[in-house]
Amino acid sequence: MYVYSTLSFLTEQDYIAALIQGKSSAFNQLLEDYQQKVFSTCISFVPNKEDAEDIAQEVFLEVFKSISKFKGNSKLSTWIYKIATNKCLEFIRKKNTKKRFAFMQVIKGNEIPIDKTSYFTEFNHPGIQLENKEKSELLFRMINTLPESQKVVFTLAKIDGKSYQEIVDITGKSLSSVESIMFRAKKTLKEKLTKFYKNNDL
Amino acid sequence: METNKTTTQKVDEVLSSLDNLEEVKISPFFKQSVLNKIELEKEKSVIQFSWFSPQLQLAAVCIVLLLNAIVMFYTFTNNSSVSENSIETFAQEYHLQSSSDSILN
Repeated sequence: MYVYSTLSFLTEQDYIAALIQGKSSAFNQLLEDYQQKVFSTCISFVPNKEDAEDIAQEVFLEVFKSISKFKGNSKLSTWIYKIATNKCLEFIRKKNTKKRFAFMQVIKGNEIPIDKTSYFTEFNHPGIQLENKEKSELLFRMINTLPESQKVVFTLAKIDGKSYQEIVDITGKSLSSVESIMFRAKKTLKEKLTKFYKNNDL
Repeated sequence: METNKTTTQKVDEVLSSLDNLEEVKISPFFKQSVLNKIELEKEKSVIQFSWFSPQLQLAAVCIVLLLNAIVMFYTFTNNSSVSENSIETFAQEYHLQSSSDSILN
């Protein structure tokens, strides 16, 4: 059983220095400050509570291993969110191997198969009301078929609730680029959903 | 038109299905679990030779393989001439029959 006191660091530089030294108090503070935020980002990309927690753990382990490489070019929070986004995308890429066949069906104009064993164990996002569960699950699957840049921007903005400026900092893209990508993402999703409903005649 | 309107409505409903998303609270055991894993990682890095990074390890393996390859190359190319010279010398030393021609045979 570890007992830590919550120390307040004078500046972010002191905080980072303590993290680089591997001080347990600093990591305790890090988790207090960021665990909920990182988890919220992870569950925005991967709508399964258990998967999202696993990814969030990997994020903090990566922070521990890589903190000495943090150059201070951005805020610590931005760097952590970048790691979180990359870890989520890594997870989705690994799980998406099965969906390549389904994606080819989309290109050929065939019915979009609903593969219930795609990139998360099971749709389990406790923050979604029951009456919206089916629609949300469909939306998440459609988001997963977007090009990666659109997926990232849409997810961070619409699901994780990040501001465009935060997304600019995390992705390294310009504000106009983020706005443009967001517009294209919404347009693409509308087209895909319209096609889905027409093909399924629901 | 009615079908189109219905499809459009359905699409809009799906797109707005995440508008009232509630925050999902992280597990209360998450922090302790991560801190435990960080402590394990710290122990791992203390046990190993921290200066002998994976890159250095790979470089050492490559050097050893290269040295082996060089030695084997020189061994196989010089082997026949060296052994012939050795046999010749041995035979002459002990006045034994050798492959070279000699009027004294």
